[in-house]
Amino acid sequence: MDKFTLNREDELINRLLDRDLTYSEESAIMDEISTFPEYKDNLTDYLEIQKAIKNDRYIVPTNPELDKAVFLEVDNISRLIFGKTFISKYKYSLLGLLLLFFTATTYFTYYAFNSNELSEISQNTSKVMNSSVNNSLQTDSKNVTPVEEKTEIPVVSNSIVNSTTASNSKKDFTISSEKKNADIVLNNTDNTSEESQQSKQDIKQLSSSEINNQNSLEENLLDPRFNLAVNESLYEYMSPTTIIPKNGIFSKISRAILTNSSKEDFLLQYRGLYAVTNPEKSLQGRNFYFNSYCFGGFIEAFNGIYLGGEFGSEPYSQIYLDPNTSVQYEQSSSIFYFGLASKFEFKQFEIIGFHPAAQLFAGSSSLGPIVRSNLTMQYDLLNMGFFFGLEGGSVLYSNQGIWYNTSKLGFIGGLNIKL
Amino acid sequence: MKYDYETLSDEELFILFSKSREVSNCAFNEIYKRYSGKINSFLYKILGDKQHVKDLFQDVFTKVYIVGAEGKKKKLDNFKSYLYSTVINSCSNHFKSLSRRSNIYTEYMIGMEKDKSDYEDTIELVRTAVNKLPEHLKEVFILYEYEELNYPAIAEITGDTQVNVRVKIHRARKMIKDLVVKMRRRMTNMV
Repeated sequence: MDKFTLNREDELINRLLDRDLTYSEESAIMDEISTFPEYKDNLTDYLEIQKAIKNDRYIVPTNPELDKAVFLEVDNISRLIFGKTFISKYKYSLLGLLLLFFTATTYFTYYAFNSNELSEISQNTSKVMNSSVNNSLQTDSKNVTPVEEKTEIPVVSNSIVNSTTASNSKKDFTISSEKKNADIVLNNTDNTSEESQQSKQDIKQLSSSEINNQNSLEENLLDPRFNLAVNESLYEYMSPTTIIPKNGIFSKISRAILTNSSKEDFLLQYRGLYAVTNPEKSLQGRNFYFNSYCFGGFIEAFNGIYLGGEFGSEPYSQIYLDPNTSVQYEQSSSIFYFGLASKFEFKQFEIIGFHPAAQLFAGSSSLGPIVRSNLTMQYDLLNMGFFFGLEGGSVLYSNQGIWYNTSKLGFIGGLNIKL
Repeated sequence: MKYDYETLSDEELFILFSKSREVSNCAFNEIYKRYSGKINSFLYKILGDKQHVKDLFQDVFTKVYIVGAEGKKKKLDNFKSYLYSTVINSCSNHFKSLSRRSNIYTEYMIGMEKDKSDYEDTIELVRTAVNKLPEHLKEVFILYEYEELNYPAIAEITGDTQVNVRVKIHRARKMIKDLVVKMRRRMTNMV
């Protein structure tokens, strides 16, 4: 700071004008000033200025426009800050939740295919081996449908035949066989309990690659697991490409979502699908809620319009044609997909808290291009939104140079969380 | 949890900035109610330009809110000092960017109704004198004389020592007195 010194007179007066003097100090200064009459004029000037300042201490009120501008800005900032705070506070919880879903999905899928369906198909192996030795296909209807003989009728003619289906492995395999001028023989199986138990221990899970389009029917028939799957089938033949479960037309798929009603920007979604068309219930594993899921992340680009991406997994029925045997297979493997999605919320049509919402998705899957769309009713509660509705999906895939399309329709339910 | 915002201290309200969005906005509303007029007046005294006052006023409250809401200052001993230091910093940055001095009270006087009575002329002269003070003296002087902050608070705001603050105020006071006396003499001579 610059060197600045006051003379004795100014120093005394300034000390007097300062508000931090005690009464005795003030009296002492006043006594000193009074001894110098010339100081008095100077003190008067200072006091007059101080008095003028005191009279000039008033508040300049802000105008309403300025107030509005400040509060608007603060509101916007608070939205951003508390959005971030929310993420920082709950991001680990959300990640944990997502991991939990994935773990559960994996577990239930594994459990469903490994523990149950595999055990059903892994029974007798000896007869299968015989069939391979004979290298012929024979159908024993009694063995194919040991319990319900009347429903499982093997067809041996110049027509498309599908008397049995297999439900096994991760991909929920089913078979429809087509053979011209040849007898289809689905091998004998003796459901001997001891052998069955032994087989259950010895036989591992049948992977989808082993039983789908990679193998011929003959090759698959050599596999005892496949063979037994056929015999244990719970499906009925409807058409060369369609089968239905004996216990009903409707099957269940799963799915889940995340959303919220506050005016936040980022939206996480998880939803589950319950299919009302194909694939069939038991082709999706035992726990449908975790076998057909979808995760999405969206940013609110415009008011009520979200753009983002999705990924998930769900089964679709597919047809495969064996080039060697002309046998046509049908399976419902779970396919993984990902792609771009958009979500539209129509809050202007809200009825008793529910408003319509729609989503569109286009992307690619492990089979081929996939598109999906849904229409839901959504209920918002705080930062969360719950919805349910209908969803349709379609996948385009190629086999043996031929393009096929497989579609399905299902109920969906899910949850949105806005961050 | 509900708060009686009017009974809370400035420091308590500031802490509430980092609570939920709703609480934060309510706490800010109360702080704004308490200080908006004072800060607006202070800025008018320092800057004098209506548009710049508006910009800086908004800037100051936004900055204070952000710091509070993000919880960057967990403990605040004196909110008033913190608020004024934010104002001073904003003003300093403003002056640096403009590289010019403001005309104090040019807008400050517009629309103001007050009882100037006997001090009308003196008030005018003092305003003019304050306006002619160097920036570093003016800020300190206004904080002390107009905003009635004490030396420790001003020292905290400006980052100076208390001794320096005291010296600055004494110096400013003397300069103002000399200017006022000089202007009075000039006016008397003119008459």
